[in-house]
Amino acid sequence: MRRESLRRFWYHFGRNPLSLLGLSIVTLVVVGALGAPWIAPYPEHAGRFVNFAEAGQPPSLHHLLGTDTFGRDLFSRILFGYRISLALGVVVLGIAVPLGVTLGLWAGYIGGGIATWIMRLSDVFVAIPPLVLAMAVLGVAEPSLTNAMMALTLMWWPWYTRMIYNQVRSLRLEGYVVAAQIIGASATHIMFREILPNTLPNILTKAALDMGFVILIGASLSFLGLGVQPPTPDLGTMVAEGARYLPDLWWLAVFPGLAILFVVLGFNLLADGLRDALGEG
Amino acid sequence: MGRALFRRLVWSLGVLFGVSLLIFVLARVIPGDPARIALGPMATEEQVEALRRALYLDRPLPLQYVEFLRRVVRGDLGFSTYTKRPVVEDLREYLPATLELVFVSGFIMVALGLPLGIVAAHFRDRWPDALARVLALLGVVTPSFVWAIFLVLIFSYALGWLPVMGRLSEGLSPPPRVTGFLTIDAVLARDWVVFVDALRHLALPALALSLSGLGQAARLARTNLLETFAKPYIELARAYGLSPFAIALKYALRPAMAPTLTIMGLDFAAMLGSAFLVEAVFNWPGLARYMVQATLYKDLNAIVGTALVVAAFFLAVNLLVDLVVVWLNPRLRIQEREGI
Repeated sequence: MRRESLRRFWYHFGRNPLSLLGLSIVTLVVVGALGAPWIAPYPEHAGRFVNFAEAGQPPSLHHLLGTDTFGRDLFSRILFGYRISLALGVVVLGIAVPLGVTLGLWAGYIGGGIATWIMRLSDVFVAIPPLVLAMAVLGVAEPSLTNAMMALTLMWWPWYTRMIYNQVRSLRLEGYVVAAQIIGASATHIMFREILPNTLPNILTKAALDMGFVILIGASLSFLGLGVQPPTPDLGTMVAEGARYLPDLWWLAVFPGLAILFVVLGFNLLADGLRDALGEG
Repeated sequence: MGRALFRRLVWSLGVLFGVSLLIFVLARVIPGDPARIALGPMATEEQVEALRRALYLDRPLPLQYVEFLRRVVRGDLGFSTYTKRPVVEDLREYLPATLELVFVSGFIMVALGLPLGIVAAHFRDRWPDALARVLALLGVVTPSFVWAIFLVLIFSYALGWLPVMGRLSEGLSPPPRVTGFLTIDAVLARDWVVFVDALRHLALPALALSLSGLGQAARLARTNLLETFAKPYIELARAYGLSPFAIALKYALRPAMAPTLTIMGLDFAAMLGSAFLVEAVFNWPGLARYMVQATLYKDLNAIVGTALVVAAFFLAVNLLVDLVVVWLNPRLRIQEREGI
């Protein structure tokens, strides 16, 4: 049965060229990031490497996307930058999604005083654009990758809590939930084994979409100097540094910028494809 | 209407209170002594202690918060340890530059987005529709600071049409400050040279900021228009022989606008956040520079103050949009009046 629905999912997913494009982009980025130490033409350029003899070269066969003011290969640094972006997305969503979903299940199915307060708290978070709140948090903390991850996680869980809460409220009177209650299943069993599987398509779709947005907002934070600090190759930091050398060394800002666009686009198309295909299944 | 407005207002104030509490607590629990950072390593322990007392940092957290709230209600956001001025004064200086940018962006979003949506709906599934779709997708996936860099490269450096940075060209003196909005102040002073120059400086940052919402606005307008066009009363208007143009303007546009407007309001409010990114590219003397500086100096009052103002703006815009939506939709209007 499970295999059958997986096949049907692939059938619908594979029929949409845009979904396949999204999947290809994401695969390409993930492979490039994970394999950066082996794929990148100059892996040693990811860190504190200096070679002024080759500084500021435009894109060429030797350096596909040119070199920066320290003579470091931009293409290699972008590949390593993807590692940071993906790590940020995976850590933030890896904490925010389970946390948000669990709180949403709890507030929706069991409820009670604390649950009400959690929902009120999520009202506050959702009322403000995540970038602004993350900026306020990083404003008072030391700017670093870890703190950026913490700030974004703090901003992200309420969206899942609210989504799951609303779904649980509509699912809790379904026949299979009532049936489970009657045979004496525990609340934990009902929440995680009966209700949760039915919310998974929404969670997956939103998580794929959010992967792109976490990366985008993470890059925005480091663009402002509130996230990852140099010499770690982060895409946002690279755009910010490159912007200082416009227009002569235009590739320094343009290619990392395009790299951000590329990965966010990939996750966006992938999420659209997931939504359509899971909806059909 | 009055009751609904009142309810929404109370809710907004509640959220604002929550935000202030949240940011305040975060600002206090994160390690690092703001007083020490403000004074630098050369200051004596007594000086640091005195500043800590002046900033109420020596009191317990709940007392600090009550003190903070009492002052906020009186319109006092405290003293900035970075500029050595009241935060309110700093905001008065930097906020108008940011707001001017955001308002012009909002205007561009509506002025280009809606017509594009109408055109896309008219030429459904033909190239203008595809263009709107691509623009919407690109708008969502491209950070506004990347747009800003692309636009500067094309229109300032390659074509040389528009200035690269700042609010005004060197050599021009700003008009007497009335509102802080350069364009409005220039009009008030009847200084047309400055007015045109300020607009030219606004063009690129405002466009960069509007692009994320613009495509989405067009897509939404398109979808809602097509839905409205499928309604029976449009059929009836057609049967009466009204011209397509008259039908679109008189019957279809208004009901189609309400859902579009809600999302556009959210996009517009979010622009205040993205404005920080665009300002950094164009060296715009607005809130972004202030907040980044405040961050480096651990200027708690400035950070909390800026965040509160942004949050208040966000909530106010959403409140306003809700009101306009109710006003646009007679069904909602009656519901609200009868208190359902």
